Amino acid sequence: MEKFMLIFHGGQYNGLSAEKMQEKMGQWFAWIEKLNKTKQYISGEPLLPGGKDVKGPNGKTVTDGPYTEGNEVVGGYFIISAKDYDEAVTISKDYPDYEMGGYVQVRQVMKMEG
Amino acid sequence: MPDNSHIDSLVEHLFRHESGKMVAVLSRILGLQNLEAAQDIVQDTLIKALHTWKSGNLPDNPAGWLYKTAKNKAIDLVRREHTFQKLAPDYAYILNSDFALSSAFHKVFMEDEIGDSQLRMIFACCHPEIPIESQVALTLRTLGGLSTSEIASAFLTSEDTITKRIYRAKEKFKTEDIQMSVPQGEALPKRLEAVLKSLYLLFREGYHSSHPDQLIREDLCQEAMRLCFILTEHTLTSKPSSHALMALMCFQASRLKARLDDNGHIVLIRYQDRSKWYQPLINKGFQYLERASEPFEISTYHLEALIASLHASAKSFETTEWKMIYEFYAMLHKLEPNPIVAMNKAIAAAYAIGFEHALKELKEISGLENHPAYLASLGEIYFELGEMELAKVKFQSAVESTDSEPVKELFRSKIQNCQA
Repeated sequence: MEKFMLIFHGGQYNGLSAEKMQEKMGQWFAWIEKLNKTKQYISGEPLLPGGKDVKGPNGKTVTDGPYTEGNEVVGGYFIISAKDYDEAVTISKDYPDYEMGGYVQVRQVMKMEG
Repeated sequence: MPDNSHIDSLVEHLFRHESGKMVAVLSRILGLQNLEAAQDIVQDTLIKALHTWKSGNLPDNPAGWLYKTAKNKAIDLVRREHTFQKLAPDYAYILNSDFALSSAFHKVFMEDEIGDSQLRMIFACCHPEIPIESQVALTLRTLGGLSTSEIASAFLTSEDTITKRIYRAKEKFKTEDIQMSVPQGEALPKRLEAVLKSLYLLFREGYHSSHPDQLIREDLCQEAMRLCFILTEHTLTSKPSSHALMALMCFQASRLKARLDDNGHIVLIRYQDRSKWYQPLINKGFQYLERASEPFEISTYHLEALIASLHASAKSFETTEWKMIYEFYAMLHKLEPNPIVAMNKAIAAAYAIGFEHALKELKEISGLENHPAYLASLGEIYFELGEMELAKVKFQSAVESTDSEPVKELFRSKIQNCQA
């Protein structure tokens, strides 16, 4: 099994009704539960909006950021295990926030081989 | 690995119900003129909850978490925004002291105060200055936590219409300077009457609407019952008519599951499988009816609840106490002389007295010429009298009088019967 990182970009909940939001949460729970059942869910965290960019020589330049489009902001990530990219992509199809304008970036975690 | 065993512990409609509660609580301090700000705080709170909880990290007390977040957001907002020069009059003092600010919000978010805020909000939403159709929409929006598009969908109307109705109500809050208070003394009976009327309409919309989606209809009924329950629990509003309305809703709601067959077709009470009636709700209905009897008062809700109770306790359509039902409809018609009540009285007459008599009563009614239930009732009586051709004509007109597919379907099946 390989490890993959699913990075969640965008996905705005503004304008959703209370009931829809709860429904949305149910979909996230169901997705995690599905991955838990097959023991493929490893970890995951939501990220707060806002943040800092640290750049330049010795990290001297610190700016508030990222000031990217709402759709680009990373809202959280999962680490999952999957056979290969194909399976990781199939898993990503269950991401609940496509209809909210969000998308998933799938990246394979590099194995450190001794 | 996150523990997902608690996922089911998120109560159904938690977000919706809590958002209704929080809007009421926040408005109590912010004042109704800032209703929009209260709604924004609640919306932000729910978005934050969704972001924080969706990866499976539910707090032990989700509602408590929501209250705390909303409370903090509200305190921040009042501190930050100088536009909040005007709060609800009772709370104007908190602007002068940070300590008073925090403790005021803390207090209104306490469990025993939340019901009180909801009750005050019910009275504000059903204020006589607000047109009745706006009252119902506003009640669903602020107390029920439904979005305008959900309300529009439930009422089979456009979102634009609902937005306008709610806008009009919000304007009244500002121009009429309506406060969130429970009227007392002489003012109470009239105001309570308006509240009950609004909840009654809300329930009826859910119960009788021709909305194809059964779930939406049940939601409306549940919402009306939830709000009426608050009235029955509060000392000021725990009046016979509140209990009578609650009894009526319990009896009616007990039949919700039996009203549609597996294909979504309407099943008339005569043909309903009575074992599907939800007995615990019927029992509740009788309890509320008992509480409604003291002190003595006869409201339209009493009569309607009594009629519903007779249906609920009948073993079959044939053994129903039609004579008493007819009497109650006659009393109801005296209290509320309108053609719908007259029609129901005539239908009861069909089984209490006879079909000829029922036909005579039906024909005397004016104002329902294009009403689907009226046309179908005429069809039914002609059918019983063996006048198949006349029955067919009436059922055909009934089909044409409604847009609801399940209702059309019901009347078409009646036409079939006439030909058999």
